[in-house]
Amino acid sequence: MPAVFLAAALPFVVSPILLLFRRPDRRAGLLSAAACAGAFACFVSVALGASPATVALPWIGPLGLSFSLHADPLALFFALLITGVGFLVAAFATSYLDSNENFPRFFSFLMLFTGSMLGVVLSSNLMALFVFWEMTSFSSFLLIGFWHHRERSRYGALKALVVTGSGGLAMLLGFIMVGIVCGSFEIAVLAERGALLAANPWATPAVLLIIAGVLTKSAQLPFHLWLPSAMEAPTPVSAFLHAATMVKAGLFMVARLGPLLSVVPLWTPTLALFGLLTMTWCGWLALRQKDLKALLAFSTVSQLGLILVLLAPAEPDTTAAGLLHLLNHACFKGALFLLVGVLEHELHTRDLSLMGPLRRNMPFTWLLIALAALSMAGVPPMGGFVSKELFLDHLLNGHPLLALLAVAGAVLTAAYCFALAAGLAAGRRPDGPRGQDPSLSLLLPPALLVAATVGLGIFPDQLVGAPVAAATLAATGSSVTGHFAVWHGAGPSLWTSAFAVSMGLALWWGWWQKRVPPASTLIADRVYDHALEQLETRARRLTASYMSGILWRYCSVILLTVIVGVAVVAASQGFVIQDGWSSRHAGPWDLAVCATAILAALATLKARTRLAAILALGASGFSLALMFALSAAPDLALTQIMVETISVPLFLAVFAFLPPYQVDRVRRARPLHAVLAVAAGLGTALLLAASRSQRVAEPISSFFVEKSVDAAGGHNVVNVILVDFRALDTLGEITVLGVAAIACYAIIKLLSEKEAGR
Amino acid sequence: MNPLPLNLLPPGADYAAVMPLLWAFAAAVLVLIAEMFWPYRSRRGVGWLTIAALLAIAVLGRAPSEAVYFGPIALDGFSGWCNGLLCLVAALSVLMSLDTLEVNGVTRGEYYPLLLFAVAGGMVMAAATDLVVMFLGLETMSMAVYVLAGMGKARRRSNEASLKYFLLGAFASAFMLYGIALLYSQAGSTDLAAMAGLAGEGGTSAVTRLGAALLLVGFGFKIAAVPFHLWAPDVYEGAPSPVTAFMATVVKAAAFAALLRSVLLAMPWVAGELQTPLWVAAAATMTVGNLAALRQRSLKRMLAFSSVAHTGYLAMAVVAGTSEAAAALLFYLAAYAAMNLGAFAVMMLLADRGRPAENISDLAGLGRARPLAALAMTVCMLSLTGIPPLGGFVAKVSLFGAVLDAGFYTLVVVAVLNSVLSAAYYLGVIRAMYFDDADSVAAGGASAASRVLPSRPALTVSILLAALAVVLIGLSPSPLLGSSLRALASVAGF
Repeated sequence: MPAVFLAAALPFVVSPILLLFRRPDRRAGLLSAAACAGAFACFVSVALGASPATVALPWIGPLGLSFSLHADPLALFFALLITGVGFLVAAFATSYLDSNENFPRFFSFLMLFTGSMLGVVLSSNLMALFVFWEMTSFSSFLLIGFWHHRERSRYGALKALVVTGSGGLAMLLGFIMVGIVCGSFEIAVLAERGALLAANPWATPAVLLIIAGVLTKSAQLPFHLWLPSAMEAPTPVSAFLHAATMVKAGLFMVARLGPLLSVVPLWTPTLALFGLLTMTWCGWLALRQKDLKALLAFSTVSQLGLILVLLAPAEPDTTAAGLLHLLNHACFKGALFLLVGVLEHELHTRDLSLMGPLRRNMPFTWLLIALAALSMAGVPPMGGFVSKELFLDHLLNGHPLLALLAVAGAVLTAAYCFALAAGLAAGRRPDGPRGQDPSLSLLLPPALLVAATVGLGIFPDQLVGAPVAAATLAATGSSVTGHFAVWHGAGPSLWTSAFAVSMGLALWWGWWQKRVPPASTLIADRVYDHALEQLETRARRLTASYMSGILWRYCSVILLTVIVGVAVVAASQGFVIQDGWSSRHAGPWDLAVCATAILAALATLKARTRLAAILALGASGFSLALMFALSAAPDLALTQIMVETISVPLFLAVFAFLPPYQVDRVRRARPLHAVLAVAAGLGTALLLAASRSQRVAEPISSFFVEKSVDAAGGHNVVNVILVDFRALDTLGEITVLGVAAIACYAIIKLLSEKEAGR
Repeated sequence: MNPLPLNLLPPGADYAAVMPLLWAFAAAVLVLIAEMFWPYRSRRGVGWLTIAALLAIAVLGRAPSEAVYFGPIALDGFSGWCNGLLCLVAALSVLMSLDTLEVNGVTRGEYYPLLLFAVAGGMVMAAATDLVVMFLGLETMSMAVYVLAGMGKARRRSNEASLKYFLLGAFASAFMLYGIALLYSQAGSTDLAAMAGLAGEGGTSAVTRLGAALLLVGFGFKIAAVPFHLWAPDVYEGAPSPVTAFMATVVKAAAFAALLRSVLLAMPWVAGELQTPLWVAAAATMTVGNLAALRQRSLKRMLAFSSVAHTGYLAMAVVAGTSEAAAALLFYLAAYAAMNLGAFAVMMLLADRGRPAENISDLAGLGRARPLAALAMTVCMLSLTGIPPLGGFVAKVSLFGAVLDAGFYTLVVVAVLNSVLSAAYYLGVIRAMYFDDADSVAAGGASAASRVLPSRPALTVSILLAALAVVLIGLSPSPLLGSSLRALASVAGF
């Protein structure tokens, strides 16, 4: 079995197994960590070329869909990141969660997520990719709502699912469009068909839909609302999903599809603009948070914006820088989340304004936080410095307004990083809660991540130069020109960087220390809440108003639809009604019978008892029979008389079971009913006239008249039809009438027996 | 002298073509008679007999490699495929009703023969190549289902459901008949083969178009499309649960099969001539269904609206009018039947004597009390939402893809948005099962799920079968998709 397949399947296999563990069993966590480590090892073997990188599994043949996995260097870069961070987080969570938590469930969800995320990066088919993409949203929903007894958790889980799920579906639509335009869903094939896409008018809407998917998943403006709410998840989840991996799926998509989609001119500027705006605005929001996790959430959104700007152009140098920062961010932000988890565990609060002086009480924890924060701020010689340098380099060559935004973002980032590092050192309250450094098992995973980000700062090229270059080559198709280094020489980017850090320091010292204006509710949040609420009330109102359960209303709707339909056709096309549509002219008898039928029908409406109504209805039926007789159709007349005769006793028989007759119940609706009735009658007459005007075949009667003597030897055509030409029909009719008569007899007999029984 | 030949059989009539239908009707009569003499205590035996009969018909009703005809009845790949679907789905619905009939107020044994009659009517609908025969099949099925809906004799809601369904159904049937008559006046025949010729140069006549529209009104009622869907929630809610499950799957599948053969395939001009009303109806059906489902507290009613919404998705195939869309429709019907039956079965699992447990809140705590059933329900709900890799997802992808291919981009956008909307209430069910237990315990109320329920092995098996089908259809859809394509390819003249 190929190592790629093994690694991708491992989490999915482990996930259900974990559910078999009993509740307070920490071994579930160890098994998860082992699975991550195993997958990591498999990917390493693939990266070293020891195992084939492609596996194909057929799925829906007729639709051209497959579950193929293709581990190119870009996919491997992400896969190693996912399994590596996954291992550390699983190890951390094993000792972090309280012993009364439901370990099997937590780790089962976590493995489900890991597998889905690996599926996203490894899939070589857009549809399969989408499948895993939505599975990450769903497993994120489960993990955010892990403490489902908390109202806020449920709210956050639902919000994350609604936002990312909807974005995913928009993306699916974009995928389908791209797939149809380019004739394939295989990413490798698509990459060569950019020209097809560029020439097609559907390219722009398709790209916009895919962008919607990217922005929702990576929580970019204006969809940044879900990430802060998702912070209700247990902290290891926040570190893994909402800092290191899942939110990067959107960025992965940009790296993966960038070369194809950037043929559409809209792609790069749209993404870059949203990225920059998010970076700056959410940096500002992060500065105003008191809750440590909220601060980190907004800072994550802001940093993701930065990476998005770098990946958007789909050029080798910026892509390499973007990937480097992505790796950096996974390290320092993952570490920060884990460390905040430690703080919460020890101090039982996440409020920045309630913390005691950490430097004295929890020196190691504080040191790690400070190092990670400095890396995020872009202070040399940390990893964050290297990639931020490249970022500024890229933007300073661009539009001055964008450059200004970028610098503002960098300043704000530095400010909240100092708030985090230095603010916690002294603490706002000397008498705040005191904790202790936790055990090694809790400190080691974040420490490793911090060590990684420091290492990335000092030896960036030696550590990740080759993999990043390979991933860039795989993503963009061309090689990187430069290489990573801490010291790029004293250029404009260095000065800007120095300016940003010092301004950030000033902002923190001069202003944040004194008074922080607390952030108000997000506008996007209010829109979301309002929309959801409106949707629910509207739906309820709609249902209540027309699903009344009242039969005549339902009938009216059906009738109205049909009448309107007929009227529209009649008005737009015009019925052809020829003069001779009627076979004969109405004589005085016809008029008299018609008048009787109409009067009887009116009497039915006005009747005060059921019996009267039925009798009146019968009168109109018998008038119809007369009409048939006058039109020289004695067979029809007889049938009609028969039906009328049989139905009256049936009516009478069931009256016994019906509630008292109420005529006035629907008085208000009478005008409507009158209109409907008149319209239905007129429409029917119109239709009849129109269909008779458009005879396409000889009337069948001429055939019968011609053949009756020859073929059947009868001179009475009606008789011949009944007993000869249509003999089987007649037999059938007799049978039906016979059965109906038996049923009538049975009902009446049962009734009289019941009466007698009383 | 030119004597008329007495030919009761049209030329080339082959009894093989009607044999499946004859078997079905014979089985219905046989079960009816057997039920009369069956000891009351072991009434379940009749159910097993019904299941055996349905499985046998599913096998006997397979199509021969070459299509055979008996006048207006065809046994081709299409009707063979539909026979299989209708019988298997009906068999599953009988399996789940074995344990639950009495709890749902059905004490009479006529349930099984009536159900068989309905299936036989549905088979006629799928096999008919003549509008009148199709109508006969439709009425045969409808009559049986009208009675089935009222089988909960002692329950007022069941009575009301039956009456409502009958009155509105008769109303809609009249329109359908009217439409057939108008089409006949234009084509000079009710044979489907004559319908394609109605579109001359310069389109169809106004009367033809009206005829087709009225025919569609009749179908619209049976498949519960807006604005003819109003009966659905009331009837679904009022009818005994096993009957509701049958109506939501078998009846709907049969109506769509007939719609497919007699309109989509035989009147290809309908998609063009009536495009706007069909488009609007499809979009309105899914939107109204989903919006109304959002706020339902009753699971049964929610499923009723969800079935309306799915009708909207399915109706897109009629709008598109391509053979790919038609194949996707068949596939969708199968996947839809499996996931819907599963959902209804889990609901029935909760029913207890004197308390039917039909609300979403009754599911609270099911995740803990009955993990397997909750898992099956989760699978069904996710599949109904269209979450991969389950059957519902593949069905949606193939259907939406086919409609996109036909060029109806906006309609697909509406459908995708609706899918998003539907996630809210489908996931609400999952939330109730897994997350709501804490709340209900705090409120001091015990949900239906946490009570001790009688063991119902047949129901449990049917739940698992349905969930398994949903998963299998999703993971390996190729055989089913291929067979539905072949079924369509076999329809003569298409």
